[in-house]
Amino acid sequence: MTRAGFVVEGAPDSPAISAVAYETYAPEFGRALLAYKVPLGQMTTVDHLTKELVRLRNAHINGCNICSNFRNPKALEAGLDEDLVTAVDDPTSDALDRRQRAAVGFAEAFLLCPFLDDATKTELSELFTPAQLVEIILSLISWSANKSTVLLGVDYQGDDRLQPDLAAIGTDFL
Amino acid sequence: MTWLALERAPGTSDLEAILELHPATAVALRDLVAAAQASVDDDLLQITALRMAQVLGVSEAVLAQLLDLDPDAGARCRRALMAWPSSPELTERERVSACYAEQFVIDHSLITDADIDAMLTHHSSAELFRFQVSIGVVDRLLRFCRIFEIEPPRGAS
Repeated sequence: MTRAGFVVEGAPDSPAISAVAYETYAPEFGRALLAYKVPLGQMTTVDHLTKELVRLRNAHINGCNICSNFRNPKALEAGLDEDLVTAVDDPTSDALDRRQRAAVGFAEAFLLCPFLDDATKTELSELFTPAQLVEIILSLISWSANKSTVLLGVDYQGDDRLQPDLAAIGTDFL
Repeated sequence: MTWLALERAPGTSDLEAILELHPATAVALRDLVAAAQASVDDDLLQITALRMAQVLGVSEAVLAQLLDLDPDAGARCRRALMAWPSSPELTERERVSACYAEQFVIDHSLITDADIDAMLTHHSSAELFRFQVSIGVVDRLLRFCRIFEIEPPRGAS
């Protein structure tokens, strides 16, 4: 449900609601945001499973129901299961390996407090190449667009899973 | 200088060296930023972006590598931000909008319905949406610069 006096005319009560908001109010911006996802999906320095864990942590922190319910097929092929999805929010869980946990922590820092201490920089530099670290953040630049749509209440609250046509978007990983 | 261990050609700035790691994405990012800038009037976006940059400790020189900033408008913005938030150089629309953006970057979960309604006294729903998604891009760009500790190019202040 949209917030306060903010309205989106004709918005459907479905996962498509945010797409309708972009099309109604900011179509060119929406197209640029969608176009950004194409080279994003072509970055392959970070494995699909690690990226999906980061994407889901972002979705959970920002409270995006649509993003939280979506599962990238490539991540499922790489071994994503619902135990890992639950574990991504639990820093005490050992279901994530050290590298996956560090990537999730890196995402948390980006989203909540992007000031890293020396120990964190050292660990990240040990576990990831610069290209991998940059890929994670460039991906979060797309994924955390949901912060704005959730804030304005343009986020579908149902349990339906988003079923985008990835081929039509031009990517195999959202 | 960024803490990332990068190989770079002499004279390459932090930002250039980082974006060179994923050139196709860098191009799409620039297109996204351009779309964000085209969605909001320039003066409003500039004062808002500079306030957000102040909060996240990103210099104007770094921001200027990502956003197309007007130097003349920048002088007014700097004066206004020195007397933030009460500066008489700000219109009420700018003040309300920049306060909203400031809260967004500090903690978006604390933006209230009253804050949104205050924005809607100065913006239509369409304008608010465009403003929100544009400052959303600015927020993420600033966090990108902050987390990698990107510094301005040599010679820039």
